[in-house]
Amino acid sequence: MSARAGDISASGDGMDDAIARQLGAVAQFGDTALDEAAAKTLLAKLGIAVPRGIRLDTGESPVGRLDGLRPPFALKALSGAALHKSDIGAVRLGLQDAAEVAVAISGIAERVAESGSPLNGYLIEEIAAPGVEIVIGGTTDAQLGPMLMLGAGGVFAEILQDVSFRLCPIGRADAAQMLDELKIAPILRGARGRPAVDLQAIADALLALGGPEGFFTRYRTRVAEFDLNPLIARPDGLVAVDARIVLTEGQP
Amino acid sequence: MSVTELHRTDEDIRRAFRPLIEPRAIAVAGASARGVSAGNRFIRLLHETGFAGSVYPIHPTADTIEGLAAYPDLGVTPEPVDYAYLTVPAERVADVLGKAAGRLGFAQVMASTDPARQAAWEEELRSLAAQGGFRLLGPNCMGTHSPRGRFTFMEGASTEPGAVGIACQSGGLGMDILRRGQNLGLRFSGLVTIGNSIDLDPSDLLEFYLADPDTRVVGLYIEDVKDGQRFQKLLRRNHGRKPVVLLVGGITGLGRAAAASHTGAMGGSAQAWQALARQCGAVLTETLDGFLDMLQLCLWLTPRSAAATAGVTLFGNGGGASVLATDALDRAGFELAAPTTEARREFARIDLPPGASLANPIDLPASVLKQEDGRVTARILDINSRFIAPYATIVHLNLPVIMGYRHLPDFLPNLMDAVFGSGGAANRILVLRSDRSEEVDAWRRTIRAAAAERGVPSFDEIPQAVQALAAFRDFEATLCHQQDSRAGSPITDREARA
Repeated sequence: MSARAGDISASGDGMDDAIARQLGAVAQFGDTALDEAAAKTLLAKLGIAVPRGIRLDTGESPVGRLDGLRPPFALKALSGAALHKSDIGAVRLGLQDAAEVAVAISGIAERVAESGSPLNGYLIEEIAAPGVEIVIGGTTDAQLGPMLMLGAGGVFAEILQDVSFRLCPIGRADAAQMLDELKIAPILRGARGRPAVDLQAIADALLALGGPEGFFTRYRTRVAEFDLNPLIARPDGLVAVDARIVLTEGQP
Repeated sequence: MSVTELHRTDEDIRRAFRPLIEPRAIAVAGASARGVSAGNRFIRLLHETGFAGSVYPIHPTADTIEGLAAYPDLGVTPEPVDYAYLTVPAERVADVLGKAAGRLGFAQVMASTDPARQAAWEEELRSLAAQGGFRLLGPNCMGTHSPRGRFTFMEGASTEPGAVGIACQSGGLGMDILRRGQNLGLRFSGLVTIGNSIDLDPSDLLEFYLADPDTRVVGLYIEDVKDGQRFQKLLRRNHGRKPVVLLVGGITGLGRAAAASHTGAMGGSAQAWQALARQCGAVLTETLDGFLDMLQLCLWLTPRSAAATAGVTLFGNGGGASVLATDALDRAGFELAAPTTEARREFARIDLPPGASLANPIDLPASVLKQEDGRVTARILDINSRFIAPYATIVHLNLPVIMGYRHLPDFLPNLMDAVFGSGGAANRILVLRSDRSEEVDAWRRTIRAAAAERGVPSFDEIPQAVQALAAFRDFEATLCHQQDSRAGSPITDREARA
């Protein structure tokens, strides 16, 4: 369905060093968050699938760079600052070729400049096949520490508020219970004649992020919050379509 | 001086707390030669409750206080002191504690200071405790209630020993728990107010109560858990084996800084504490009454494996109250237990006037309940236990009407005997409905005390009872989940050893 973005072949300690270096490098530049491309590279290292795509710096042309990707494409502005991309028109979907992408890039550049947000570059991706949108996130409670969230996802996630929480580290049983607590659980398990989504992939992702060796559990001093919204859950797997990883302040 | 090591044995922990729970010598700083200060009241209370150890008032100049020899400081008492109760103002506390090095087990400090000086003052007290080799409770608390030690900080508190262990970060709420709790029939193994928790914190008291065989249920009121990771570890290791009921203050989102993500916006303290309760098999409550109700249920009901559906028998003289109760059950996810064929056959043998039915909810007017001198209730409840065996039976009595028949010989004793049950009456709950008149409230108190002695939880109204029962059922479900997750998963093995 989709390959892992990033070309670092990962295993064990090598992966952990790579993640630590990535977090460190970002913090050095004074960004408060990983941009979407960097966040997706990190997710891929954790074993969470992301759409195939390429990253362009500002000023780079998309021509000749999209040959390995299958249209239609999504184009997104990359920024290390807080950005509700769909709100400020920093996302374009359904682009058919490099020429359309180039035109869309100028439009985005204008709108992002108007909004005053810094611009790191662009991410051009294949558009994921449709499925059930879920959100996985992490936040830190001042008293109880890092906490993982699973819920019904998409742009209306905060309106729907169909969410469940567990403190990190979680076990596999916790992951199963988080799913069972959701209103959309029957949809994920297959309703109205539709097949179930890949529930194992959801549990694996929760553990990769919040398990005893999970990303958020291990790097909680460097990572303040994160949102993966949406992940598209399908019978054949789970893919993170957007990702936002916010760093703690003042960490080297 | 830290008690955070998780490898200490239960016996080590109990021994460390013995001077607080069963002190042999108590010092009181803040009583005056003439006055009726809090220190003086505490000394008089020690006498009333029959405290059997030595009491040493500490005073810079007085020779005697409350008829006892007084001493100028903790360094010159005839023997080292297990527990010191300090009601002196904040500016005197450091001076009193400064003389206590090596001669004190636990100091409880009631004073508080203004916010501008608080951090420095608390740091000073903390280091005095560390250097002086004693533990500190508070500051800004109200005292300790320990029936085993025959001492308490609150007038009117019963020193009958019990099985509920409480730690509370509010002195005022601690008094509420003592008062309202004992009127509910609860008795305490201890109630410790820990105030600002600058030394002994909620985890320390939790650890003690978990290690204390006299404590069967733990209740904690928390505003700042202090060491959240240690608290979680203690709760996870306990796995709900000894019920822990939590009441957390300041849990809602007001005043939280703006979040940078959807998750941050949606994941507040309430969600974190709910997650903690579910993961660790603790019970989270939201109000004082909810807290006390869950202490009741955890003390007197036994958790069982969660059944897929939970049927409840309603029995009483309610009329519309029975109908409302059925709605409350439905909202809480319970079903009405259906009478089996055998149950119906046995019920049919009972002579009832026309119109009275034994279908669930079993609603019988008092005029029927009084039949056979009140023994008909026993027959019905017995059939219910043996042939229906519901998840729970809620017996609700409309007291003003019932008490109208109190002059009938043997009616009330037989009714109460039947209601309290004779063993094997699983999950029986009593609801005593009063019209709030003085007379009926007084009867309710008497019946409630008798129910507590028989280990039957009692409530004021049916929906309250249903809510508490639903929370208890959630607690049972989390215990079941832990059984499942503990079975062979390497992840959970690692957590258990952490």
